[in-house]
Amino acid sequence: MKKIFIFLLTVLITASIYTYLTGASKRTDVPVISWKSDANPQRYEQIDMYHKFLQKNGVVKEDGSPRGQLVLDTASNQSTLIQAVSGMAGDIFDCFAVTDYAAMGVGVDITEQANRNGYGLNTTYEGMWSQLSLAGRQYAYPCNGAVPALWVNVDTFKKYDLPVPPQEWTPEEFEELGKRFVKLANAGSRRQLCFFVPSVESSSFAMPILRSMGKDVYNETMTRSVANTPELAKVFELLYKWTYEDRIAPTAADVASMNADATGYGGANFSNFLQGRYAMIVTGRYGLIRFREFERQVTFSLSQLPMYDFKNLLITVRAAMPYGRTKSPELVDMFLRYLASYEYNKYIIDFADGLPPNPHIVKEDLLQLKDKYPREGITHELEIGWAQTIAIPESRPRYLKAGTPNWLGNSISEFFNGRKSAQEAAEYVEYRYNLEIDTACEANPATRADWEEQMAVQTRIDEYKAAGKKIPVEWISNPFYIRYYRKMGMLAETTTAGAR
Amino acid sequence: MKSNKRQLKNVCTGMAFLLPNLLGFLAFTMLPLVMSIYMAFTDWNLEMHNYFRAEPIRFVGFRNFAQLFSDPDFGRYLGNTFFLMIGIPFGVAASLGSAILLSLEFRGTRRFWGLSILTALMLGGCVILTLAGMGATAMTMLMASLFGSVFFIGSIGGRTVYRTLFYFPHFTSGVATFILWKKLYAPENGPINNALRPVFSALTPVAESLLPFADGIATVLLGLMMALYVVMVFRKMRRWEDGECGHVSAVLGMVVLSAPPALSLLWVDAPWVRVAMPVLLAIGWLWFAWHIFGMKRIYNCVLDYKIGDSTIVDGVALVAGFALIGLANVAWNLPDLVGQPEGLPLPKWIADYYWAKPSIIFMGFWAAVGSNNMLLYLAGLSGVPQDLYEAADIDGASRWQRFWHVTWPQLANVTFFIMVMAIIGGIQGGFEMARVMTNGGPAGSTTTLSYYIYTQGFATGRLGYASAVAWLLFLLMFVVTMFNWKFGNRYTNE
Repeated sequence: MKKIFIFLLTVLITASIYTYLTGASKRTDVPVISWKSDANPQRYEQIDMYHKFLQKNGVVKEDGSPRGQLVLDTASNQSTLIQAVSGMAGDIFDCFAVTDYAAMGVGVDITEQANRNGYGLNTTYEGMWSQLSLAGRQYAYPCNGAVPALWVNVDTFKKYDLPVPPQEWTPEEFEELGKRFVKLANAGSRRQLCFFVPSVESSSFAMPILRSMGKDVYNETMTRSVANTPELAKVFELLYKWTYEDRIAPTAADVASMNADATGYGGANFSNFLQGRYAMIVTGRYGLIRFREFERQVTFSLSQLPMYDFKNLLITVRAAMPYGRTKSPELVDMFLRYLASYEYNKYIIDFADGLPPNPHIVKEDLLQLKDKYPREGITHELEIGWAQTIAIPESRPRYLKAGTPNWLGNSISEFFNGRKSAQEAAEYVEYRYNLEIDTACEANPATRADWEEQMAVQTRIDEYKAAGKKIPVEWISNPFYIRYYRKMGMLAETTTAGAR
Repeated sequence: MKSNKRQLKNVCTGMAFLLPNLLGFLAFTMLPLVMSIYMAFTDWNLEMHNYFRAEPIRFVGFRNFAQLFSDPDFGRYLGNTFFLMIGIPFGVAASLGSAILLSLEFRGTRRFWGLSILTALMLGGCVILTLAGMGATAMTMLMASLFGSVFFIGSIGGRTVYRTLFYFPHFTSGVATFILWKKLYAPENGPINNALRPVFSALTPVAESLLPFADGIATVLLGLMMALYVVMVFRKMRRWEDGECGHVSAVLGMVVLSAPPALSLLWVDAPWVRVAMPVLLAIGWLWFAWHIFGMKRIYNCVLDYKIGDSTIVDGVALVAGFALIGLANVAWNLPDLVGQPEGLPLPKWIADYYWAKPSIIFMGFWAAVGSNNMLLYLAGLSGVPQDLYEAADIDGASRWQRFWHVTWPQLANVTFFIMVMAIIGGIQGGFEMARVMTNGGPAGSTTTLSYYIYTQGFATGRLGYASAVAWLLFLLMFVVTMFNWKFGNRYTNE
């Protein structure tokens, strides 16, 4: 028995030593940095390109090989959070909640080096600024982004002899065409299989419509939720009508049936779209990665979500955030420079991996895409154009944590399930978000101090509004109101620079 | 001296064997456990307290626990957790049923032919249904063939085959079975609704013909629920008078029996119910009080005597009461249901707020049929002395009497153990299902406390609060288990 024990112990120690010695950092004599991202085949190509970028920029050994190595780490978001707060995360991590990590002290303030080395905020979309910075300081740079809009299967519309949706339309025009489409597409079928759009039971569909009526879920300083408005209730009712009365969008039960066999990212939406079951789907240009894989090729056009007067769309960003404990800040800096480089942005443009982080650098290449991919037409130009003009990020108070439930989406679900009326659901959104803010302030004295300061600013904003005065731009932290007040001539442009 | 040395050496060797496990336990179980007690009383928040932000951790006393009671989600998710536990008695019954079936010998000429004929009948029935245009899907045929094959192979291989097949759900990965059930529950094209569709179509004219009587049927069903209450209270009082039920058991039984009439005030939207139910409850409790305080018992017994009767028999009455209320509501809503263009609507299962929880309970029931509990019951059945059955046979006992007076009491220890473990598992459970199948939705209807702890701890980073919820959950389990231990154990020995 003792011999077995000694034998097992020896095997375990040997295996541990072997694992340690064969780790990425031991296989090479150059510093190794890790990048926490998704296990996408494109990431490996992007890593190879980074190594070439190092060589091109002289970060090389005597033999000309790169003086640094990048490895991919595919840990989950939850693991990343735990690793980050424990001081042992990867050197760079993909992040959708930069402000949270920055508030935790996990990130590094890169404002000066970013401006010096060509990856400052001014190189990317204004709509992304608030998602890359905290209190005017930059903490991350985009890997890519998206402006989700309606991608239209032009062939499906031609098949039913229907007009192709315009780039801009009102909810009424959307509804009218949608009803015509589902009637023609489902003629003679016992069960409805074709829909105008995928499920609209989501906050990302509701938000642009709400904003188009000049309303948002939060106030100007994002210190309180102001969701309890007739406009939000109207949006809820509209989504319900499209789903249960007009049947131009599927119910949760329809989706559950369609997605029963779905695998891969985007679920069954992409294949349903290509089969003509959905006339349009909501996605960014990253969807083209999947579309180009399918044998059946369709002709695309792009439309905004239906909305009223104030045109807007959401913009999202997958940001690369340098970790505060990196041992190789020089290689991390090179990585961020690489993200802003022509090579990387050209790759993003060509392979449709979302929006390029630095669109100015690939302006010419963008124009050539319609020749290379004639079926995709001007969709690329449109999305990138909207990203630079009407796209606004989701308003997200810095007092809310990354894991805060999506109460807007949850309330839509409550309303759709008959648990609340539309107005009660709107009231619930406001109540829950305010409760979350109160809880966050109670948990952290520094957050409370900041919140109280901002509440004082909000009081001044309210006074200015009541007096009909223009509101100074630096008082507003909600990106929606900056754009909206600017358009309505209600903004005093007292500042021209700085991250927002 | 030499012997002492040798002894010491042996102890050291033994400790060396134990050390890895001991260290693992200390590092990964004991230390986190102690830490979590500490965290529950602090404001530990990943935003402020991490490797980079070493702000002092403040002791907040019971604030985290107090906050639980003002948290609108806690009560709701606790309710969801308890609701899902309704499935436990059915699951235990299913395990027992499958164990009894699997303890029978299936081989033998009579059974072989019996099962073969049954298989042929099933397949024949499916073919007829298909020819009639009902349920003509590949999945329906596949299921029928699968059942047929199982019966046929079982006829040849006997109970060993069935025992292996029944145990499948247990050793299949949880996530895989959840995904499988998600597909089964697909509302439009899932096999369950495909099988139910012809049945619902056939029932639509029946439901339409019942429309003029819908109110009457609902009233009768609620009347039956009230009658059940009266009968069960009467039975309880009789048992109390005869010394067959202690005071504590009687009170517990009354509380359990009163739940359906009391909750019907919330669940039923009929004016007469708002008058009838309070009157019924008042009469019941006054009658009970009059018995307890005003009557002299014929035989006395200890306070908690026959508490198992209150838990099991009254529990069954409770479930039956709830079922009657549910059916009454269905009858009242019949005009809406029949008014749909496609006839009686099929359940939307996990896509529907009201069906999501029952769907998960059904799935749990399926898992319970072939669980470890089934194995425990199988082992328990093999330990029942055969002479008891022989004695029962000599006394002319029927099959049911053999079960109720021999098998069930002999399995009391096993049942007790299974119930304790199932209740602990039920309070802790629901996380994987919520994560894989529903994400806690629709509208939070399947979010349980374990899923809530996870989101609070690892999504929002409020470790102090999440620890408080976890410890409250532990306290709840401890109290329930103590209750089980105190009263269930007595029931077992009775």
